[in-house]
Amino acid sequence: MNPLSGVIVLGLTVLYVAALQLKLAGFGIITFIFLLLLILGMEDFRRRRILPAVIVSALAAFGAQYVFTEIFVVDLPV
Amino acid sequence: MDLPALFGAIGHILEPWTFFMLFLGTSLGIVVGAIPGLSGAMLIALTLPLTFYMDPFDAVVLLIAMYVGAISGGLITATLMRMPGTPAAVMTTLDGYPMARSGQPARALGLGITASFVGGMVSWMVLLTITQPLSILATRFGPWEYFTLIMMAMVLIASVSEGSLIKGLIAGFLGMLVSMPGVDPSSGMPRLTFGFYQLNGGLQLLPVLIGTFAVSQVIKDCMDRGGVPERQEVSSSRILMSLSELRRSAVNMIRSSFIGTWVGILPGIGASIGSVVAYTVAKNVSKTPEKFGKGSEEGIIASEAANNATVGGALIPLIAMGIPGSVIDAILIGALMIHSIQPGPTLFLTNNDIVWGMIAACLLANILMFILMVTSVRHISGLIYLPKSFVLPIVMMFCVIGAYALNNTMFDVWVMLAFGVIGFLMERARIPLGPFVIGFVLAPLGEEKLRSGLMMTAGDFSPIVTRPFPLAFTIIAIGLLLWPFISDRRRNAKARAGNEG
Repeated sequence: MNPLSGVIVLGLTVLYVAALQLKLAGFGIITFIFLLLLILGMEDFRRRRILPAVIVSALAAFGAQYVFTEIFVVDLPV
Repeated sequence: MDLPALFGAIGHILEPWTFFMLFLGTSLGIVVGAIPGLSGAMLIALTLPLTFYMDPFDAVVLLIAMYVGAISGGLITATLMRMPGTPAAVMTTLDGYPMARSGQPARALGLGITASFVGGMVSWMVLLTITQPLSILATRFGPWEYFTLIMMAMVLIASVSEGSLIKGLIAGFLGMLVSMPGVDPSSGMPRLTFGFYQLNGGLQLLPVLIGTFAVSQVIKDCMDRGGVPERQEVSSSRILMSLSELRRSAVNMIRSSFIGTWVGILPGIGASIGSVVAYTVAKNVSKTPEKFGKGSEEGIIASEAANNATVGGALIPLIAMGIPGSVIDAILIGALMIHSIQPGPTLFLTNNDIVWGMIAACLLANILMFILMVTSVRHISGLIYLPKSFVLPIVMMFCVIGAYALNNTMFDVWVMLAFGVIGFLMERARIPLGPFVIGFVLAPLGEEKLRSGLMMTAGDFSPIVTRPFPLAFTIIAIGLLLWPFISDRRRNAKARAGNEG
């Protein structure tokens, strides 16, 4: 059990939701940064995990934006 | 039994698009059920926003298929990793994992898959035969019958959920409290809104559910990631049980299926307790109880037949009376309400097609689950080794999208986060989440029935004791409430007598 991980996840999620509410950037970009930081944080910022994390974050963030807005026609926060 | 309606619903589901929904739901359910940390409740709560724009029939088929798939998928992780993919598969770990470790992972999975299928089919037959008569009986219920039934269900949920009765009751009361903000149904005045106009409509079901089940689970999983488990290869052979094996296990399979169905019918109890009860009974009547916990075939069969049987059982009170048989059923009630379908005894009259769609989907999803699991369990088992550090952040993203999509308001996202923390803290304090969610869903209905009843009797509570059903429900509720204390006293007295002796 690592309480620090829980605090990091919750803190990053609060910042993510706040960024979406304040419309600091588009949904895809904010989500990409959130996912990248969270994945790397959970992987202890290991160098060999950076590339897979970038790819997965980009696919998930921009993929979700495309699928929800274009296919499911669901509004996203930004 | 309206067989033409059933066959009509089966025909509808076999149309290409609806069948695709069934396939998607079952396969996603199996995969999510198999991945530790992701649960069926989480999947269904996150899928709800996507169903807003779907045809209600397709939405119901998708969600029921997910329910069936998720309960079944848990056995893969339980068998290969000694980690129940869903809480319902916890008893399967006791025997599935030792059997897999002894070099027979395919056999362990095969026993579980077949037992899951039989459990699902037995409970489906019970669902088919008793739901309509029960709903006809329930149409005779007035507000007092409903109110006392809901109270009985709440006490039952609290008394049999994990942990102590007191903690179960606390969880139920918290759920009821959380359902209170909003406009008072009789006076029309806002109550407990604390000046937030967003609370005038009350706390919405979806953000509360996503927060309580998905966000809290992500936080918990992030804190407790553990190491990468040792990988076990599964061969395709020995997955299907032979006829002689089936004959040998038939009694255990059918008995456990009926136990699971019965436990499923009892409101709010769910699959975990069904499998515990069936496992315990199987062990007690077994000729080889010493093998339980060391790779017993009977143990795997009892646990899996029972947990799948709870699905059909739990749908019975939902369809017949609008009372959720499990947490996932509470979410399904939310799904029906989103599509302006009022669950309850009149559902057969008002939305006959939806009801038969649910029953038919339960049958077809069970058959599809069996085919998918038998043919692709090897490939699905590879998914359970996905790194959590990549899966959990994506789940969190879906939580945010899901909560926002309900009303397109960020307020719901903050509500979801708040309930994520509340759910996490409740789990840390070992306060069960099941009674909380079911209290949240049932309290508004209970309040509405109580107020209608009081209006009919001009404020007189006496129908609770003067009418037969309310009186019976109240006696059962009081009995359930007192039984743990009485049995504790008896156990202590026995222990004291034993010590003195």
